[in-house]
Amino acid sequence: MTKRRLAVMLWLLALALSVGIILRTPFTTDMSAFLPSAPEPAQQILVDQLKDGVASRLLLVGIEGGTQTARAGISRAVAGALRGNADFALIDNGDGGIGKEDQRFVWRNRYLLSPAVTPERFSAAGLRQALQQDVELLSSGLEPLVKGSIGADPTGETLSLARSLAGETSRTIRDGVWAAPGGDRALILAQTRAPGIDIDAQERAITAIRQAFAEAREKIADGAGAKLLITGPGLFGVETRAQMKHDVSLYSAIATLAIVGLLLGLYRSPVALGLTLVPVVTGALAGIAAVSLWFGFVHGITIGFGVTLIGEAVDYAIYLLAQTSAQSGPEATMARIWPTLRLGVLVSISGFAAMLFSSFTGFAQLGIFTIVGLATALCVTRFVLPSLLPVGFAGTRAARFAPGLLRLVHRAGRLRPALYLLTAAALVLVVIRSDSLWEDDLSSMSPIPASAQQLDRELRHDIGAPDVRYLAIASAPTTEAALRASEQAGVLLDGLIPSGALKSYDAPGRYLPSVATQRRRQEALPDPDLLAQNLRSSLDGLPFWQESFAPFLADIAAAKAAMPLTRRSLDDTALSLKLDSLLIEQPGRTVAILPLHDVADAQRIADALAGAQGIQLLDLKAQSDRLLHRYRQEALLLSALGSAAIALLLLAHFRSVAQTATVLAPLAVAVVMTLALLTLHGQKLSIFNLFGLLLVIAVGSNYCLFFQRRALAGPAGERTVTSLLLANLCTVIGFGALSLSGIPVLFGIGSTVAVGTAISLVAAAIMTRELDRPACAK
Amino acid sequence: MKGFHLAACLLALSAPIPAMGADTDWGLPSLMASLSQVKSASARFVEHKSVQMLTRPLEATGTLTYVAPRTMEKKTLSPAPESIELRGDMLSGLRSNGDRYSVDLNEHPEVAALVEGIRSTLAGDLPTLERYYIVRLLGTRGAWQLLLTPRDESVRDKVDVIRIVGAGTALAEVDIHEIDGDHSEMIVTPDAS
Repeated sequence: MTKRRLAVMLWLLALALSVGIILRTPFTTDMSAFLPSAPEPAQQILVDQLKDGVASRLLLVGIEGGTQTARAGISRAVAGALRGNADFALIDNGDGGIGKEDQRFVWRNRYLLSPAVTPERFSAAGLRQALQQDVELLSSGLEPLVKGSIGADPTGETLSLARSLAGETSRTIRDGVWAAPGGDRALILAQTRAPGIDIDAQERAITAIRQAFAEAREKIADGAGAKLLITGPGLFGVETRAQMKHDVSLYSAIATLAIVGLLLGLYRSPVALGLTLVPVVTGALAGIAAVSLWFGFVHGITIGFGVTLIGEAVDYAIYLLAQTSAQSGPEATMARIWPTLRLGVLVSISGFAAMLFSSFTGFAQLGIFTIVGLATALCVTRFVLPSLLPVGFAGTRAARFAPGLLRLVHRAGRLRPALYLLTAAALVLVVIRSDSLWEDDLSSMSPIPASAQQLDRELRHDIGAPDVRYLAIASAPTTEAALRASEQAGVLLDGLIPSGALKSYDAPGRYLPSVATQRRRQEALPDPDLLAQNLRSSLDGLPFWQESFAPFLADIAAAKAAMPLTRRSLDDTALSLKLDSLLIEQPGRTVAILPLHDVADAQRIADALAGAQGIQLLDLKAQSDRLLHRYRQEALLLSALGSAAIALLLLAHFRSVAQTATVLAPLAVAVVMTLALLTLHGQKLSIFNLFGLLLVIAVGSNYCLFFQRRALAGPAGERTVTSLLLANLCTVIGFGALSLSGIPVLFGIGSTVAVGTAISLVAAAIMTRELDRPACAK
Repeated sequence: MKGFHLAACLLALSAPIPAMGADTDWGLPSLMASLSQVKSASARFVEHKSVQMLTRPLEATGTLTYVAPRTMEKKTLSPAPESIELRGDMLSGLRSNGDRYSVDLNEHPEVAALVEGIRSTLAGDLPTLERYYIVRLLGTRGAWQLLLTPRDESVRDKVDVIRIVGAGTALAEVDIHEIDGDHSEMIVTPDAS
């Protein structure tokens, strides 16, 4: 009695301690915990971009419907409101402010920015050629466009720079604001300060946009017909999380109701129902506390999935409660089922322990959570739960179907040939389809609905921000070195454009050349006296007044003496946004990114770049496929390790290969049949299914162990099979409800576990040989 | 990048027109109504352009075509071949060195004003014309001139006045006087159609 009281005291103490720790725990929803921690350098760039890149911070906004004037008015009002919001680094709706800043920057720094600046260009011969062109321009239809700038820029650097930059950002303007090429949609590009992976900040930003739009629509005449469209990585993150929350709460509510109904129907006692939840709740609290102690923080997803994974702890209580009769009392039941229960939990723990070795922090957290959670739940079931049961408690008083169920189980062996045949067929199917078993397309695993992906493509096309597949990457210890390397890469790429290997590319050097290049351009500019002399001789015979070019002489002299441009020089321009996306400074390393457009021959580009130091071609699709592959390889390896650990544990326990095989065989059947069923259903497998299978093995092994116990006859046997059926029904209901979700991860795990555990229960009943004995004895 | 205004030089003309009502009824609305009847026209032009930074005026010759209501093309034959075309709101050109360029009128209100001054006149579109300009009509049906003064301040900073001279429904001359003193005169000779 004192021992019992001690157990309860310890339990309460542990609960209090866990809650205390949890209250101090920082929780995060930062998805980077589920990105690998030490990938290859090329993948690191991809991962960094996903986490924190400028692309991840962009929200693309469209305004549709209503009149053009109303759309433009709303665009201006929304942009005005958002520019005053500290969550946004930049709002670009094309209404001029920023475009003019950019024009000023290019005009002022044209001699440092233009690749055409060479000594020959400013020689007498070079200037003469340019001036002849200028005469032609002045007599042409372009005269009004150029006449204001020829006096300061006779070599036309601004015009060619503007054209090369416009190639990247060609825009349609309607009623003074940026519009889609057709004109029927106003466009706003918003860059958040927080990275795309910070879902809370993204949600705040999106709410601000929606609010600004709603207010603007009220104020602007004819605005009522306008509709707001938003897309971007941040929106996807926010909507996926919201959808996930919605699905998880909806389907767990459905599952909870169904399970509670089922248990109430069987126990006919709310107390028993509450007691069933005691081990799993204690386990979950202890698990969270353990993760918090180990990692210092807990990821929201760890809790979400972790609770699903230790859901089998509900079974422990069911085994105890459902198998307890009024005569024998819980202690007797516990003594009977303890060896099996303990072995079952150890088996589950060895299966989940494999996750500890994952290189993804998120999975490692899941490993700790499940191990501590299950062990705690087991201890609570063993030492605390019996004390809490009311005196004279009987689990399933009126299980009228129990004798019939046991008879059914005893006769199940007859189905063995049919089961083997089916398994063989399933195995053949899986082997035949083994090449196409896995989902290789990342996008089809995406939780984002096709319509949202379509809108994303449309707005990206409108805004001129297409998804780029190939990047040339120049990496160096300093920014200057990275810029120089990127300029070297640019030279190599220029050589490939004529052959059609690629059509064009963008480079950070277009917005900020390396200091070396800027100095070289400054040196290419002649001294004032020499320039004046060159100009004089070049004007000979041309119809220009020499005085018209005084601004030119002054600007060259100023450019020659100017301080080299730095990143700060681009502040307040939209070009700085572009530069930020192409030049990524990290502690001790700078990466310059050159997006390649219309790549026709990636191999040739890779070969050409291979010769240069620190430059490589990055295929984002191949890299993300490899990242996916890595996830899968790791999941496969961990599953294999987990399965091996389970097999070894059983072998150590039984000291018999035959007996170990008896436990494992139904699990193997369940895995093969589940794979076949999923394949037949047209599903391709992902890591989500793989984790589902790991769960099937962990939970299913308990069924096999219980079936293996010899005394599966009489009232005790009836209670055992009833408890197994009940436990499995709860699992099938819980995970089956999750499989109703349209989110791949929930559907994948839900369907796999529901189907797999049901099959393993049936297979265990059919295949466990010990079952024959009482049936034969009859 | 400074003098971002364009294409005053786009132009056209038209063909003789059927008889009109009595001269007492003649005025801006009836001139516009008769111009709007012209569906297409073509002409040759000779243009003299005086630009401050040049020591002498430049001369250019070529052809002009107009198709109602919104398409105009100017082809220069001398001193160097080039062309510039206006379709809807897009102005696109081909330079003598083979370069192509295009300008969206929506992006450049000053350019739009210059272009609409001539296009709306050809199309007989008085509301559009009056949106950009204060319009004054002088002369008679047989010899008239339109004086267009920009309404918009940013255009008024560049363009002083546009003068379009015509007879009946045919244009004879388009002059553009800019604030900085630069000016161009384009003499238009309609093709016999």
